[in-house]
Amino acid sequence: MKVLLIQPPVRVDHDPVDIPAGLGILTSIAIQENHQVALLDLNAQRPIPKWMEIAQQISVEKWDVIGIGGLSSMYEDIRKVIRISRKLNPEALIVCGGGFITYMPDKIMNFEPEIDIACIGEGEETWREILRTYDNKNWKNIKGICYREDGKVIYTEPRPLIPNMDVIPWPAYELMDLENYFKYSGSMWYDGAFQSKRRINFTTERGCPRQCTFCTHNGMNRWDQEAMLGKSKVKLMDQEYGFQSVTRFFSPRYVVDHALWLYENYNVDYICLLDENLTSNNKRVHEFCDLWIQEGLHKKIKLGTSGDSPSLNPEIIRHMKEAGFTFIAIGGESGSDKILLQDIGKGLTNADNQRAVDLLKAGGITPNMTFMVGNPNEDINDVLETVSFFIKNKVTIDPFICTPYPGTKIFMDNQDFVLEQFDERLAHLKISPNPNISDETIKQWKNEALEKFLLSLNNATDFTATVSKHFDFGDLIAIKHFMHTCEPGKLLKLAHLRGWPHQSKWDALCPVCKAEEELSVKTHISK
Amino acid sequence: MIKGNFNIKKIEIDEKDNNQKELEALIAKAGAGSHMIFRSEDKDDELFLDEL
Repeated sequence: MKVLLIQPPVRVDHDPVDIPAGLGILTSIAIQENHQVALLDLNAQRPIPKWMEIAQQISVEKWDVIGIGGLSSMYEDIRKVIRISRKLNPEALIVCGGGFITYMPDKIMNFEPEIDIACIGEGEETWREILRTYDNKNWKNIKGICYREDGKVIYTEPRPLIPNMDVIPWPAYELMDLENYFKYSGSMWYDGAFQSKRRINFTTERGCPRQCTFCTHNGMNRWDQEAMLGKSKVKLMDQEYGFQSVTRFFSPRYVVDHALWLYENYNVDYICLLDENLTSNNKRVHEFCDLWIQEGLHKKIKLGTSGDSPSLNPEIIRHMKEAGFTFIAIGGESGSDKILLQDIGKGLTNADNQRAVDLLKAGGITPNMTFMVGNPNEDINDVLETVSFFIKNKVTIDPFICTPYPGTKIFMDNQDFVLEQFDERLAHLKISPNPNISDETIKQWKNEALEKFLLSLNNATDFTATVSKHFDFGDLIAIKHFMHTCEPGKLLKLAHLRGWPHQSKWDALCPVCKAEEELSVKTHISK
Repeated sequence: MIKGNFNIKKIEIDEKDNNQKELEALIAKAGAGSHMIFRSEDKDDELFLDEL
């Protein structure tokens, strides 16, 4: 049968930096299953094609199965792709997967009636079984999906995580527009990657041992399973399928063979290992670096990756430097221990972050840290701690605004507050409850608000919804700007304008406090 | 743009000619910065669904 996989656009205001690796794997699986397969990558060029051109591309064949996937932040464009696909292929089986549908498949299937099957979490084995079940449509035996039956959305049994990730095929690079992606090789402006000519990104890990409240893992680790299914169900899955892990890695041999093949076939000179937290497993990092160097790849391909502060030490940095790593990205998040420990639950402190920066700089690897603002209990003093970190380390950082993406703990903890920001009726009812409004009506308003919220998640750098107890959206945009420009004085002036108390430790940086003190002294002298 | 493991009918796509609406869409998503962009009022039928 004829199978089409479509990669929707990602962050159209940025260069396309990531090949569609996940969809490429699903493409490989469809090829393994002996189907006629095509990959339509709408993210490979800028500006993205006109929607009519996209429709023309989809219309070249009558497709039996169409697979579409992506993150919550891509929902607006995913919706367009789904609707065009259904219009052109009324009889096709439309299967959707990825983060955008994993955390609320029934709600998304209600918003998008064109979707036939939602694939929840890890998709490789599910996708293979869907293709094998296409003829008899006996969907109920496929684990990890939602499907439609008699107008209802039916959940099947949850799918366990793949225990040995080395069985997953490499992406179908031959069906990707790699030369177009190579044009943007230098778009990652970190050391080494900035100078690359033929860069590719892929992941060698799924999941992360940390449980940051703003993060999800696309349904592909134990934390996500517990959030979606409950702890008791996951414990039952442990007994039936083996321990559902928080972190799984491809073996070093798998990754090195993959990289060698990319070098030999595409002359790749840089690989970003977009793992959630590669350095968290020191033993595996050493094994990987040993094998990488043994195969001579350290002289052919430079590397970048991500990690976390506590797992870094001089020995691991030395080995990674020897293997060719030029940068390690770390989620710094905040300069405030209160926010790191209580709000984010990252399990590390600002001292850990400072230590990581110092170690990486001493070891000759560029630390690249990202920060955020707007966590629930973050106040102006916490913001100033973060700016102090920027000033101390002489860095310019445009922080993200903390966004409650579906599936995250901050979304689940603040769901009503988020929805109130997208429906003034809900916001009004919170202040003035009205017994004449039925629960059914409120449920409908919440669904409408959820749809608006999802459609607003266009770009993680945009403001969409807040979970902050201290700042409104206007405050956050101003604070984000003054953090970017590293101006504690303007942040402190804003604090006085808004009536936010700041600690006396910031008085020396505060133009208002300094002026008041000077005027007070002058007044005293003149008396 | 579309690639397959079998012969797919080729569609000729015109070279890109960025018009005002495309520019608006890009600016709307990227942020206009200090530039002043006039917006047209023609925002309907973005997906051309009726024409498909």
